[in-house]
Parts: sequence; C-alpha cells; structure tokens
Amino acid sequence: MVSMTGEKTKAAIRKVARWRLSVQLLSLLVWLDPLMVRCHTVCAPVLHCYSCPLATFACPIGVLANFSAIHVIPFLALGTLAVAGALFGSFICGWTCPFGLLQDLLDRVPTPKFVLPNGVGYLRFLVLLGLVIVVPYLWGDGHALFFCRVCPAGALEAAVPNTVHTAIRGEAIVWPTITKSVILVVFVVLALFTWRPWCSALCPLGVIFSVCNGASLLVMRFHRRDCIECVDCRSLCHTGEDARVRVNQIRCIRCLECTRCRAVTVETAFGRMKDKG
Amino acid sequence: MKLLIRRALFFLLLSGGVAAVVYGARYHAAVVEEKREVEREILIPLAGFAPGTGFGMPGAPGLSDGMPPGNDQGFMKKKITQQVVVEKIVAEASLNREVSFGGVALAADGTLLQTYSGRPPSLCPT
Repeated sequence: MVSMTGEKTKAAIRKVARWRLSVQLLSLLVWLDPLMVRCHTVCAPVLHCYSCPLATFACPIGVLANFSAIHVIPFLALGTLAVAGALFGSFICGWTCPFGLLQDLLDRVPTPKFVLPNGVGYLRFLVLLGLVIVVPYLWGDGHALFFCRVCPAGALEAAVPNTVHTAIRGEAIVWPTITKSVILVVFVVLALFTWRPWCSALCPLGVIFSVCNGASLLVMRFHRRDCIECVDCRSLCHTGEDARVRVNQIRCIRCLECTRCRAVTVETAFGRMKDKG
Repeated sequence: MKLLIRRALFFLLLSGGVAAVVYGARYHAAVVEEKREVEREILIPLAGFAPGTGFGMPGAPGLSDGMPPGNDQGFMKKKITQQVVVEKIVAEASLNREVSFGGVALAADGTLLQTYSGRPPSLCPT
C-alpha cells in the first residue's frame, strides 16, 4: 500500500472528519422512516430495532438472533453485513449508527471520564456467539438471554415508545422488561462517563464490522516515518490507543479523530487516495 | 503480498455478500405451516333415521362417499369449524418481517409454525 501523506489529502480527511456529527444526524433520516416506507424485509447495517415505531429497515442482529431461533440461515442479513463490512467496515459504527450517535451525544456532557480497557472489546465476540447465535439456537426466543430481550437499543427505540403509545391510546400498557430497562439505564449512565460503553464492550454488530476491517476497502494506516513520537495519538483516540502500536485496534469506529496526527491516515485497499496537491 | 491478500479478502467478502443477498432475496424460502379455522357444512342424520341397505358403503351402487348425491332427506345441515394446517412457502425477505413480531416459531418437530391467524400482532414478543 502506498503511503498517503500529502498535506492536501490530509487536510481533506480532517475536513471530512469534522462532518461526522452531521452525517450521523442526517443518517437518522434514513433509519427513522420519515416517509413511513417501512422496508422491514430488508436489513440495514446498523443497530436499530425494527420493532421501533420509526424504523425503516430490519435490524441485522435482530434478524440473526430470530433466524437462529427458528433454525434458518439468514442469507439476506449476512450478505448485507458482508457488503457493508467490505465497503465501509467500522465506518458504519462511527458515522451512521443511531445508538452510537446517542452515546456520542451523551459523551459530550461535561462529566469526569474514564477509559475502558481495550480488552473489553473482546466481550463482544461472546455476545455475538452466545446471545445472538447459541442461546437462540438452543433455547429459542423465549430465553431470558435471547439478545433482543437484553438489547438496550431495542429498549430505547421500541419498548419505551410502544409503552408510551399504548398508554396514549388508552390500551393495556405493556411495560418493558426489567432486564431490558436496567441495561438501558446502566448504559445511558455509563455513556456519560466513558466513551461509547455499549459499542466498546457488548455490541455484536460492532464486532462484526471490526472483523471486516481487516478486509474492508478503507483502512487506517500509521506511517512510522512521519511520527515525531509526540504520543498525541493516545489523547486523540477515544479508546486511548497508541497509534504507534496499533491503529486498527478492535474498538476503532473510524471516527478519524486520530487523523489529526500527521502519521495517521486513511487509505484504500487499491493504493493511495488521489492527492491533487 | 500482504496487500494482495487484503485485496483478495475484500473481493471475497464483497462478492460473497452480494451472492448471499441475491440468493436470499430471490431463491431462499422456508415452509411455514399456518393453522386456519375453516367453516364447513356437514349433514348429520336426524333422530330415528335409518339408512337404507348399502348406505355408507363406499363403492355401493348409486352411492358416493356414503351419501346419495342430492339426497339429504333424513339429514340436517350443521356448520362446524375445523382447524386445518396449510403449508405456505415464505420468502426470506417476508420471514425477516414475520420474525420481528414473533410471527413464526419453531415447533418441537422442527417445522416452522405461524403463531397467529388473521391480523399479525403489533408488538414484538420481547
């Protein structure tokens, strides 16, 4: 892979990085079904519960878990994740996920912050294999550890709105389960004190894209020859990772904050990005 | 070499994903059994009715399935509701939507059952 250190290209990447919040907010217009299209036969590559009254597409993790419960292979969901992972990898998490956006907004609240150890990212493999695949396959969707029964995104986007909706309509109120509600509250509170706790520690979708990063079109690169050993990359990265050691670490969501360091850049798998400078 | 492997993996993942989407959207389906309640009209013999010789014997002259055609004297009509199992082939895309509200469940014998009849439930089971 050819190095991309052209100053104009670097400036362009930094300019793009500043648009992250805007892109996240605009992507809500796609996921939150403003036109009431409701394509629940199609999966979106983000964690957004499709029991939500405002959900355009199906949640791929919900589909994986439910299909595992009925012993059917979900080709559509797997294919969607593979295509999205190949093209974008973890950019999906950092730039379009609605539950990630909520955590990013909570992270902006000025509270004392702490950094989770990088090893917690591996817990996500357990969640993916255990709660999304094995538990539903063996015990069906009635098990207390069936992923959708503990998903905080589902609690926030589906259970709470549906409870309010039934109350407004004067119907018998269906309360969210205690487990789901507690997990939601825990992660909302945690998000005030640490960066993206759900994404970092438990998100099964994030770990799929983390794995896809190894084969995705866009890749983060660290150029040692441009490093001046300032160690600024550690403070730039939300996960506290040292870019000199590992720029593509497992919890990376491609927020591009680290590209403010001159040694870190984005490249494609097909050579360097065009530098017009 | 590392770059070549990366490019190969990218193409493998992308083409595999596209193939899975095409297969899932166009060819993949599952058989789902739906239990439907069907209303039928049957004839039951009136009290004291004695069928003639040969009545009810399949293959007997002039008789069909135990009932003389067009002859319902001595019988009364009654409507009954019967539960029948209908097998449907459901495309994977439709199954995506069905599972979102718990519309399909796995039976103990491995078959897929539709959990509702008529209007689907509005809330998911979780």
